[in-house]
Amino acid sequence: MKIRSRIVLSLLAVFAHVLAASGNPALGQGITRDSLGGSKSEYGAILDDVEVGISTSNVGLLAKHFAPQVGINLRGDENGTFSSNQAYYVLMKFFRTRKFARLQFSTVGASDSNPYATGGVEFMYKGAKARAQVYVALMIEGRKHVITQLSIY
Amino acid sequence: MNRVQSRFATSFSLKGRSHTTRIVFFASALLVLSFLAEFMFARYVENNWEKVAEQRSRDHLQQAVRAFSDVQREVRRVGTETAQHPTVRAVLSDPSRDRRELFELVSRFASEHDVGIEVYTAQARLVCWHGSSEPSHQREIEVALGGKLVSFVTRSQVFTQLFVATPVWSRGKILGVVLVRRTVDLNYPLNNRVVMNTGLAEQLTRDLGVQVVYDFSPDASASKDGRYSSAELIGIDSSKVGVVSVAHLARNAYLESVGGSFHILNVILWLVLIGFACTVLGIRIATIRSVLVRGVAATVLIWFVRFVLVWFDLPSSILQTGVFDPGFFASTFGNGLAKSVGEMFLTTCALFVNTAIVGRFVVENGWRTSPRWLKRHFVVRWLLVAAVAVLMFLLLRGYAATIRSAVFDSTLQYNDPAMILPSFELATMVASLFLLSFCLVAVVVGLTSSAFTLLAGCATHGNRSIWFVLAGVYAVAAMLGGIELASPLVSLPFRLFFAASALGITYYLHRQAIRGESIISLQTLLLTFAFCAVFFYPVLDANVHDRDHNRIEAYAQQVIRPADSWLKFVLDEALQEFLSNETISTLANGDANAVDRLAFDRWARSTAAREGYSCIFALTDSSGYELSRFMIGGEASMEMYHNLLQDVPKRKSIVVHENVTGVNTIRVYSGSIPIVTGGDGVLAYGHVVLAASQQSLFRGESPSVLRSQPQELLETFHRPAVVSEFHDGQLVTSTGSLLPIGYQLPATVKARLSDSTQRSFWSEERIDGTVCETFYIKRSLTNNQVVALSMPELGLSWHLVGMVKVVVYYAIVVLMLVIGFLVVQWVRGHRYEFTFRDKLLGALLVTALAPLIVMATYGRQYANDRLLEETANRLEQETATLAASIEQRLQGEEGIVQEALSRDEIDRLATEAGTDFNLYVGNQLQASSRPELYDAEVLDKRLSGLAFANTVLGGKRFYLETETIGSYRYAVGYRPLVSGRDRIAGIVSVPTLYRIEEVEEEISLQNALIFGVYAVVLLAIVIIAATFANRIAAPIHKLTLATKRVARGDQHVTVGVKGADGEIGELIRSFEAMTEELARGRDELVRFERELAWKEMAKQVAHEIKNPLTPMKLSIQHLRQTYLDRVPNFGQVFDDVSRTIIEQIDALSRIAGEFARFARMPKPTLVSVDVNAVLREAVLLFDKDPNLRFELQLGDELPPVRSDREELRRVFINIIRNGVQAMNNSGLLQIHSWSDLGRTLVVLKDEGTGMSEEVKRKLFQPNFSTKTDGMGLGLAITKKTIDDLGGSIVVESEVGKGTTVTIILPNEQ
Repeated sequence: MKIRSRIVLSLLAVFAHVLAASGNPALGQGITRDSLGGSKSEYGAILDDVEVGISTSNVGLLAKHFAPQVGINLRGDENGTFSSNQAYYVLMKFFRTRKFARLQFSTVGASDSNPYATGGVEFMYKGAKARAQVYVALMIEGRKHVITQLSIY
Repeated sequence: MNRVQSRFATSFSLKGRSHTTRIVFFASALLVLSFLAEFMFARYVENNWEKVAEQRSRDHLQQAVRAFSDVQREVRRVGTETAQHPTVRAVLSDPSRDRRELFELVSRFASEHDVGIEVYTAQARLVCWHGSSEPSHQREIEVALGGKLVSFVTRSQVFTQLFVATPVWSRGKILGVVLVRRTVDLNYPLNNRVVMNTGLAEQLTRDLGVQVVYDFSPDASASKDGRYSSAELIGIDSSKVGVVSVAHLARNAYLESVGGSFHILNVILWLVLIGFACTVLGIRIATIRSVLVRGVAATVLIWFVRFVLVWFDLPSSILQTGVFDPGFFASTFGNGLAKSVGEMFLTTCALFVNTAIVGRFVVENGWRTSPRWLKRHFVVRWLLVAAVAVLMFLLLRGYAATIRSAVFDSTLQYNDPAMILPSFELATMVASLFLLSFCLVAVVVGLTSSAFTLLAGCATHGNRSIWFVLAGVYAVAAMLGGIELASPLVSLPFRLFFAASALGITYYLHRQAIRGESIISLQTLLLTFAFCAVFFYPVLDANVHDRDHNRIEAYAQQVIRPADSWLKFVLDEALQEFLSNETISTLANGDANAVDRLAFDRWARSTAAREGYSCIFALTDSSGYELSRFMIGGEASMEMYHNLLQDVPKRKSIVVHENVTGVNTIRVYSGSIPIVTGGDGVLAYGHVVLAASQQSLFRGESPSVLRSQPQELLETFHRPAVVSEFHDGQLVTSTGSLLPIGYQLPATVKARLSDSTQRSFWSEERIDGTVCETFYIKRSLTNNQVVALSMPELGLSWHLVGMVKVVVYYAIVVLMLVIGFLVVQWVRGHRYEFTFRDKLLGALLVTALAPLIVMATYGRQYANDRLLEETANRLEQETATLAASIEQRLQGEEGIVQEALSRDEIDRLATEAGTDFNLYVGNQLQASSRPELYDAEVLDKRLSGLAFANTVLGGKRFYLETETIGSYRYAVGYRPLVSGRDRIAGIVSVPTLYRIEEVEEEISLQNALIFGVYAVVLLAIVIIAATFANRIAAPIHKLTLATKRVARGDQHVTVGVKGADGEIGELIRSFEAMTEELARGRDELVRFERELAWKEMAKQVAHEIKNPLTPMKLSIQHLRQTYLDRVPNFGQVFDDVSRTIIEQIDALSRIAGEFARFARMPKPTLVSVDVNAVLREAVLLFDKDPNLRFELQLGDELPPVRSDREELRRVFINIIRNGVQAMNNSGLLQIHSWSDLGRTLVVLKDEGTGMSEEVKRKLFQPNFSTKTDGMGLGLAITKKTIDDLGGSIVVESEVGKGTTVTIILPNEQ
């Protein structure tokens, strides 16, 4: 086989492999923010984003509402206070090995302008189904609410 | 070319191109195959999933069964070994025998094999033990006493344990039983250093990737859930002991795990391809002539590779822990370039390599020359200088932002004083920052050098005023750099320091270059990295200080966070736990033991347990009868609990009760929830009571041993902070003793607090002689309640430790650098030769360090022993105090200890003694100031076997034992309580388990102190050793240099060392005398040779002149004779003769011309000459021949040399001609020119026949020639020309391999 042909074939092979390797695992599970319905309270949109973000393992939806310092507590994973940048990657790593079902907050409360929400969610981890409780706490910073604590126990 | 380069060159040369393509094709084909294999495997699995799943499940089940069997076999072996030991038999044979030896033996066996051991007599009486006591197995022991080996598994509250009972035989008679137990599973979801959740099921689940469940209950049966496969577990006596169930493999999970393996193979192949491609491209790039293009190409290649790795998520996708764990550090910079410590390190390595390569290109190709066209544009030069200054400070800002991210986007403890040796992650991050600093310094030096060159116009480095002008420009830029920015990231003094450093380093390197020394050397690198350490540490330290402040502020926000919402969540979540399937099925099954454990189980899995709140968890049936209860510190909430039981609601309810006692508020949250199943009505009720006090800031108060993954506590922060609360300026509560009772806020603080627009601020104040940084925050803008977090200021010892750590970091980086340097040298084929100085330094360091290491080890051991001794002394005193108090209560009546001490009495005794304690009667725990650990079965209620042996049996008045729980070792002091009749009524013990943090801190600080001191000493040793080595080796080094100069032909050499004495002084003096003698002798030799040469030349001249004179004479004689003879054709004869004479006169003229040129007549005309132009002209004379090929690699913009243009041209023509003739006018002649450190080098290489050593030796001698024609003066003239220009010419040749001529000429000054 001529050298040129080998090179072309090699490039084709590489291209095909690149296509195969570039699949995005976080394509979502058909759950959109619209399908969950939007909340009318001022921090409701944030809670909606949290629900959708966890359900679809879309960390970006969560991270855009993080405070500069966020308390993250994850079952079987990291626990601590992280910067918003760090929290993004910590959650990415957490969601990589877990597939969450649909999250819906069962309790939404507020106390002295510090809202919080909790709810249960099922997830698959290493082939086994498990259940976790999600807690998110918000705080006003400047003119908007930000997430200061996110726990998935 | 070294062997590595030649190997690559062979692979990637024209001839090896097919090899390269084959390898690339092969790797690509493998990739395709891998892809296809994965695809086909997935298809196969899809089509045959049932078969695959069944096979895998069977394998997993076998592994699970085998795992249990292995444990059982091991435990049986330990039991048998113990039972057969002579000591065991001896003690069991003779009950009166001292049992202490048996206790020692059993303790040793148990520790070695990580089991618990009990020894029973033939009457089933316990005589010796080590390990936990629960649960007891009287029945099984009776069976073993019947001569049967028994194994069984029992589940308690926390542990599931495997037991093996082995009868002890002696001469056919059973003397007793040895019972060995090993924990196989942990039912307590607690995972910290003290109790590690590493049960068999958990471990197998992790390894196999599917859920594994061991069921050791008496009625365990195969799982009816279609998702599991089950198998029975058989005991030693062939009876069933339990069932193991393994979850069926999920198809997606299986494909994912297999895909992971393919992914690793693909990664390797990709790396091979990328590596190959980079190598090929790298070699191609190295041949690019243009420095600019080469630099850009190298940069593009390096960053292309880096981004390809990021895109494919390599290596993070494979190595997800350690340095690639984002939990340590993660930044969104560059879309993944710094998403972990490891990625950051790779990025800085890429930056370092990029900087090094580009820097080297620039330095090697005339880094101090500026384009000629710029010399004419004054304004443009100044604008460029200004741009350079601005760019420099932008780079500094970027650098400072990176360090800020390294601090704020990470959880790494840069400034923990207890940690001298950094963790691997921290070391990697610090190494990255070092590399980054180095790159900044290198780029800045390059920019400064460029700015200098622009100002100077050309490479005139003697002009010092240029440096001052540049300093002024930088100072202005530094000041302007912070004006428009709200947070300039670095202060003005630092920017000025940065500018001064840039100038200083550049000046130093310029001076080095002027002296002809290489600026790319190991010494320069080490000094630069040392500077980097001094440079980046203050920036890092400032950011760490800011982060400490941020941390305090974040914690303060948590403190003022309304606890109500959080505590309600905790309670709500705890109540929800009662509704789990597990709870309902346990209640429905009716197993009394399991129901009894339910409250504990629910507590263990709840957030209340994780957070460490005092609480009560309970279950009651529908009629209110208590089925199960677990309590931690909830005694104060019992009243609330009873109230809860009085009025059980039909739905979930939560009640909050606040109890204000003095300055402390205790909030009690209680709630109940009915547990309902379908239409059966209420199965049971779950109740939770949770208490939190304001004094603990509504946080949990349980010890950390009872918490799963305890959260970061402010108390464990390496800068301890005290949290206090003020009402109307008056201190009401504080977590520490920093603030005295009745402390009032300072007036300045009050004034700032009265500002209603300001909610929080930092203040520095002196409290009781200690300078503190305090963060004040109001609970709300209108509130008069203020929370203050105070940290003592960093003391001198802190900064000293910090400096020591910088030294340690630098040492680590230097070590890496030296190793890297040696590796690079080895790859290049150079063997690094250790100089005398290196060996002397090494010898001095070894001599000094060996005893230092011994002392440090001994010192640390001694310090640890002293700490243990102090601990022992303290425990001795504490146990003595407690024993005295209890003995006083005994009042001489030994039986009174049998009564249970009340809670109040226990608390009072503990408070008086200032420590927690336990009280044992017999070998059982009777009272404890911390009952939670025993209730939770984390600790056993039975007295330690060795403690019993030493106090009760051995009669020791005090016994210290080091016990282990999990990975933690702690000391426990035991003291017997003596009754009035001098009998032992009980044992009191004081464990240090509850002071884990204190003890660790003490050990850490002690280690830090020891290490710090020794690190300082080590540093001093290194500096002193280096100084001595330099001083001793300097004369040797100078002697070596002088020897080399003599070898090169320098006649008049002095070593230049004054005042040297001893052997070295003698050596130097002898050397100088020798060189002087040598110079004299050489001068005489030269004179002699010159005379000889002149004689030879005169002989040659005479001979050459005679040759044409003879025919001239003969011709004239012939002509005369012809004239006299009146020959008719006289005209013809005259013509012939005259022609002959003219020819001979021409020959004479030629001879005269050659000799004249050799003797330097006429005088040369020196002008500024472009060497490349002259080379091209010389080549033009020869390139008409089609068989000749010329390959010219002429450096861009070579600096001119001062020479006679014509003479130089003749030199090149001569050498080219010789080369062409050596190749028989056919072949390749390569010409390469470049400039380096003030010199221009020209290399001419031919493929001719080469020459022997003898010929080479005579090459430049006049009148020496290997050709039949010519005078043999060409090369002699060439050499003379070069020598007169101050240059040199070197010839390398080998017969059959061609000749390389290197001409070195100094550049025009």
